Amino acid sequence: MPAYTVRQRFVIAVLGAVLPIAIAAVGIALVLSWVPELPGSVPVHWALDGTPDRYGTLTESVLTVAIPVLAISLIFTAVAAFVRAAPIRTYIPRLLVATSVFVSTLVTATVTLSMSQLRTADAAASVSIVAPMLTGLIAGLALGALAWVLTPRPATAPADKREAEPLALAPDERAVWIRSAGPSSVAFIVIAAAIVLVLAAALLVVLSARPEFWPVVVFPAIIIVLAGLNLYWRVRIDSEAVLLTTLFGLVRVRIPIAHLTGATARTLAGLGEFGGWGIRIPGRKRVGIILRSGIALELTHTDGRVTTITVDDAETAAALVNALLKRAGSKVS
Amino acid sequence: MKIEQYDSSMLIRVDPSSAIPLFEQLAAAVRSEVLRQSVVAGERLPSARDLAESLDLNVHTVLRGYQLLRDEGLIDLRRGRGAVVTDHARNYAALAAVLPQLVAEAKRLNLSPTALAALVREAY
Repeated sequence: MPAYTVRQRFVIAVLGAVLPIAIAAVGIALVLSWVPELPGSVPVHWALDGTPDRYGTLTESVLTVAIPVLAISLIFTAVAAFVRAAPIRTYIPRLLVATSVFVSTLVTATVTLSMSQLRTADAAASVSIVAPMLTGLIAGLALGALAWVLTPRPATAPADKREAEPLALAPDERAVWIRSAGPSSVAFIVIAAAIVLVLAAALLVVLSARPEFWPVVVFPAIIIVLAGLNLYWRVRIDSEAVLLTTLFGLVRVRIPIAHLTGATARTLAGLGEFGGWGIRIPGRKRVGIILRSGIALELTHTDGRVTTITVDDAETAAALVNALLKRAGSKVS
Repeated sequence: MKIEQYDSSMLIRVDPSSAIPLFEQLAAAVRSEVLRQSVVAGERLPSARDLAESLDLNVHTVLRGYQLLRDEGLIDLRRGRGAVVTDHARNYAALAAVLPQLVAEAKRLNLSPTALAALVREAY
């Protein structure tokens, strides 16, 4: 079930896409109207102290506003508008819309204000980016917060839960359930495509002999490696604990059975409910290890927290956890 | 995507208070997972150490269970690669098909599992 009505989606589209694009358009229009007063080359990059360290054309400057604003506002708004209704309300749509407005305000204000200073400045080198950026930051935070408040709250839906009947466990019986959990083939294609892109970028940097562009290769490569390590998990449930480990055991999460009150299996929409993949924190007291959409194991902790992991055959896993809890309960009483 | 042969799913149960030796219970649990097709040819079983730790068993007990399965040709045991299910698992399909019938028939006759097992043993 979608979390928003058509009307609410319209509000989200206005806040998350129309408003940010309009802000950028006004800024770009202003800058273009100043063309006669602006020098031929304008600062497009600044050093840490706020003084320009690279100059380019006005087109380049305008594109640094237009491209991120268009990409972020369209993608974020689409994801926010089509969020699915989840059992527990998520703040993801509000975060996406607010971020879209924040980014647009920040980059538009920064570029527009620095161009405005440039009109009256004697030398381009004397124009610092610090004041325009701080102004952009404050305006962005203010407008972003406003957008957050105005974004409709997503509807909630009862969970498609499959109550897991406890397995029949003998008093002394020991049981273990082990299963690896990974993403769907779509995620694999996306990762493969990203690797190809990074390799192509690396080739370009080598061929063009421009070592200053290495960060363009290195940072995405690090992100891909981290994402890859984050997307393959193993779930082990034994009499003592639920153990979640990533590939090569880099991250280990151990949840003692005694800290749980119950387990269920339910279907979920990865992007819609959790806003993405990997380790997700979509709301207070909720942690998700979301590797794909579909069936997931949901563990409720004694303190009310809920941990979710997408894993096949989650019904069996939940049945085992419930059996262990039932047995522990009958031993106590 | 399944990261190479990593994706086996196992529910393994052993009961120390049962008269059946633990290593045989373990082997039986693996066979029943093969029968259920939770684990198929080419997939790797959990490491003996992992199973021993989570079932609170001696590693040697687990290894003995695995050796039993290796002698049947159901798994391959190789140093460094662990226990990998062989193509022999495919031969379980026919048994998986008749087993529910056998059990249903035994239930119809009010036979206990032990009584059915005794009949199967006789027929061997």
